[in-house]
Amino acid sequence: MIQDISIENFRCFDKTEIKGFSRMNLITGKNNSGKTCLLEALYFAISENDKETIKIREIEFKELDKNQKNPLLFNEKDNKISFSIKFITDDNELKFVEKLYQFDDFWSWLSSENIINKRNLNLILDKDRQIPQRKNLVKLIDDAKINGYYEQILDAIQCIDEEILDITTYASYPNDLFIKKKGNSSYLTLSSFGDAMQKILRYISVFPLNGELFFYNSLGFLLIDEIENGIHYTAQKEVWQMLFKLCQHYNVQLFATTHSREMITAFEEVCEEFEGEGAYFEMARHAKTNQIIGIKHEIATLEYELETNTAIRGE
Amino acid sequence: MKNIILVEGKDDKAFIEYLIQDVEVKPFSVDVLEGLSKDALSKRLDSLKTGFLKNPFEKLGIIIDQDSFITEERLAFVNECLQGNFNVQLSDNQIFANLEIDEIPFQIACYFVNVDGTGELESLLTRIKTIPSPYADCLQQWQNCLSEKVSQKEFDKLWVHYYLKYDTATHQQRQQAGTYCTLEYSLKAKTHIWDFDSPVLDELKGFLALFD
Repeated sequence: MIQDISIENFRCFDKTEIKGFSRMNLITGKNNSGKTCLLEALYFAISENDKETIKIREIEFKELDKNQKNPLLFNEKDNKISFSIKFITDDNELKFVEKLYQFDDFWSWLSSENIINKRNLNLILDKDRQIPQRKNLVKLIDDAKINGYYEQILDAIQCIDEEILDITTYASYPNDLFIKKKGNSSYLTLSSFGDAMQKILRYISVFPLNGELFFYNSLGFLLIDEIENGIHYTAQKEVWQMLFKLCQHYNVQLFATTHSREMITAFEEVCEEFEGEGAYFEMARHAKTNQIIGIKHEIATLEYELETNTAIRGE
Repeated sequence: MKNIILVEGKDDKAFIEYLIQDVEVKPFSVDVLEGLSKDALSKRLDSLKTGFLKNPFEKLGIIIDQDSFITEERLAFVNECLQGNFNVQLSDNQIFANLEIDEIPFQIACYFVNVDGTGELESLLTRIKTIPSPYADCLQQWQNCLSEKVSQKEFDKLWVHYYLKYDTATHQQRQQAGTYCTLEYSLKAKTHIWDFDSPVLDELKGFLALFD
């Protein structure tokens, strides 16, 4: 699990160190405060498939001008990007990983064919599509059944609701999923399970690579930008509960950003249920140096700050 | 950088904000604890520490009631709350401690609102009233009539309540007592009912003057 990260000269970061990540990390801040950049930095720093990384803002590798220093990646002030990450392994061993990229050799590094398939790292930046299209979910289940990994999807769903016995599709209803619960003789449509379940299926649906769910790796990372999108506030707590269960069960570390105070409140409440599993960070500028800082709020302090309407989102 | 003054309740905030107008101080904000407890003060201090690098302050003043405690007891309470966050022990009330986080210096001090070493805001208010107060004063007869005496703290609060509602408000204002019979309203529209030049306020004004 990542504990700390240091970032130098990457996008909006000059020099930033953020410490104290937990399994579930919620990050907030004003617009352009570095929230999404932090996700990208994490993605960059832990990715083994760097070509993929270049696509993170939907820009294809081939579209980039090799004669220009790429402002999407490099801070204007320096040619070197450096990441330093402190991991703690499941056996409580500390591990340090450092990556240093220099502009001069960046393109040779990028064009390297030494690509390692990485199933255990996932970044969701498609902010507008966080609730899945029903037909895509239908395809997910069909593909899973045809390719033999349906049990894995069912296992993930049962981690959220153990009373779910089966998920299936019917040719007569190509735009809907049907779910069977314990004690019911008939199948219910997905929509009757509410927004939270659909949102979670969205997360599960994007990760079946090569027939394996991302959850099945020894340690996975899930990076979600603006996690509140597409989810009504009444379902936000339930989404967090589901994500906490999934990430705990499959040993996944989550980093998510949000602007929503309601989403933060829901997160804080669920953190109390899953003690020690959550951490909250506020991206802001250091009053003296103007460097981007990641301020960690202890969960007990966050609870008080939410109750007293204290400014906790970079204001 | 601004200064922050931390107080127990809304009335304390209104009073300090009024009083500080006559004192030359730097830009400041008065934060309300919404009731004093070790938990509330500790968490507010935790929060100020957490956000310090984003919103630093130059001076932090913690103003709480002396109540019936001796100064050493009050100081120990504040120091206990400061221990888990700013990790500092104040040597005395009205004395600033100098601290620094990430090369940004700041100071913290505390003051205990009192009259002659005991009491709270209401104790001060009973001493700075300017208008005849027959309604509020009759509470003394009520007190004498009771077999069990109410505490001085409770008595002073009731006294201020009656002073604001019956001695200094019109019949019409009493119909909307929640708006017109409050300390906050009196500090906006009826300041003549209080004597802000009273020597009983000198110590508190002196503390506020430290936020220059």
